[in-house]
Amino acid sequence: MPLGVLEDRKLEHVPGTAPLNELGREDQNISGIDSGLLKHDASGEIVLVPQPSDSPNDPYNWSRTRKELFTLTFAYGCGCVGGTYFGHLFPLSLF
Amino acid sequence: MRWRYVFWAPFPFVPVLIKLTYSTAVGPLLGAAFVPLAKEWEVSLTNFITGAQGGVIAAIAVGSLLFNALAVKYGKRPVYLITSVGLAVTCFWAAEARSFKSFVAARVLQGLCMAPMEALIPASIADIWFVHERGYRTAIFNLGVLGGINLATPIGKFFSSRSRFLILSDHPIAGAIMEASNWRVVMHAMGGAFVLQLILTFFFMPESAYHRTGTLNIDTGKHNVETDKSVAADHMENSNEKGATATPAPVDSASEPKLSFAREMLPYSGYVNHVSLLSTMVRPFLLLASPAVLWATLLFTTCISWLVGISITISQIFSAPPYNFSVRSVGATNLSSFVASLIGTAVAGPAIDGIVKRMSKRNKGIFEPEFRLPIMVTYLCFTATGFFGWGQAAYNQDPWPIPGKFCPNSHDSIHFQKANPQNSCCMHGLDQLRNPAWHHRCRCIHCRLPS
Repeated sequence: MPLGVLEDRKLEHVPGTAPLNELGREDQNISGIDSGLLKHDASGEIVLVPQPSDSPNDPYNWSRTRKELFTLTFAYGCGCVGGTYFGHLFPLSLF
Repeated sequence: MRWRYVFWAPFPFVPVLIKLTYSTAVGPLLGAAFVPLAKEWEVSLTNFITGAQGGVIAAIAVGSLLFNALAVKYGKRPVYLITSVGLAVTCFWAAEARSFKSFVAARVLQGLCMAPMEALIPASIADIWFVHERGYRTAIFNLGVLGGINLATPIGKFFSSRSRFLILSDHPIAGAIMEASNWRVVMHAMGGAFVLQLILTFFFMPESAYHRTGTLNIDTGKHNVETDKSVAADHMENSNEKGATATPAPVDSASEPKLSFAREMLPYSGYVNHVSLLSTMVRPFLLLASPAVLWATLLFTTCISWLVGISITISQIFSAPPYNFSVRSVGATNLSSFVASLIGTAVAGPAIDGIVKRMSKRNKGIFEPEFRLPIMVTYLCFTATGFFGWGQAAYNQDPWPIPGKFCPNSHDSIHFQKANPQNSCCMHGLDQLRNPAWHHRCRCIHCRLPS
């Protein structure tokens, strides 16, 4: 491998490596799974990693709106937490 | 001092170092601002800062460990709900505190409750978003925290600049008390903000921890299958996201009844993960042995330290001659950083996910966690120009628009970096190590400098 990175000889897979899309068809069996069985995103080009289950209760299967609301909620919460850092509540250049 | 601090990441050093850092470097700078309250409660300034600010940071570190472990075991929703209540209560408590001890107690509890919003969010992101969507959401998360920091400063300054007119003609001590009570108003407002947060959390953040059954496991990160063992087992495996209860019989999850709205609104969903709390708490320390995690921790720490350093020097430099900015104008310089961080997030998020998609395409469709790293180059470029430019312009005492431009630039680069490579290395860790990896986030918090 380049840059002196050692080749991994112990593991079957490099951790974190996953097929994300299938343009390189010859490698479709990279993880030993027929890509026809895999779930894709709406565009059909990107393999979903990790693969969601079929359950309607699986958070990965939530509606887009619901996911975005979740995201906005924690963004607001994080904003509040950021605002609570002490030094900022005390104006520095008051005197 | 900062460098050593970075390398002494292990937890017990943190309070000591906070004390050192504060009393040596930051202490005098912050001093003026802390004077009124310290005076009111007759505490020495060093003790005041160590107690009020150092206590919070140490508590965030402890809280990260505690609440993350609890969240792994019992799910995230109860943790978010409990800490939101805690944040609101401690804000009101701190606002009404009449003694130093009570004030510090409120702040320490508050620090504990702040932890999940810092350390658990990345795990929640990974719970609901797919790999190729996470970069953007992590950018939004960081924008939240930094936006809060940046917006709180001008708002706080606005309040205090209003009160200043009242204080001017007054007796110094009376002025100090005015100032302190003014600060109480801000703290009450924060409490109100957290009540809203609690309501939002209740309705919009259902439990995201989920025992996933009957899915194809293409995520090779969590089972390090050794070559000489049977690989077949890894394929059609029932992938249990939290890696604990091995329920071998795959249930047909499609036929699962959809949970009712009322059921989802329950504070606790009944989720239990059969892991040991203790080992979950110890794991982040072991993770530091991974070079990727160690590096991410260092990067995050330096980034935050610089951010804090810059925001302190901005006030100092712009309020002194030759600039002589009014309190409110100094606050406004932070607004420009907020705008910068908005732009940074808007650009960075899609850029990360885009690069990841494109690189994996060129890599014959295979995604590697390292694809999150190339964006680091932008950090190098922006930060170097930003910091050097800001330093040089301030040193030359150039007309204010020049340092004024550079400081958002360096700020922007930090936000860009926050939104980008810091995420990217966080996500790099997340992608690479999967389940345990988000714990490294709380390591990051451990060695974070107090803001």
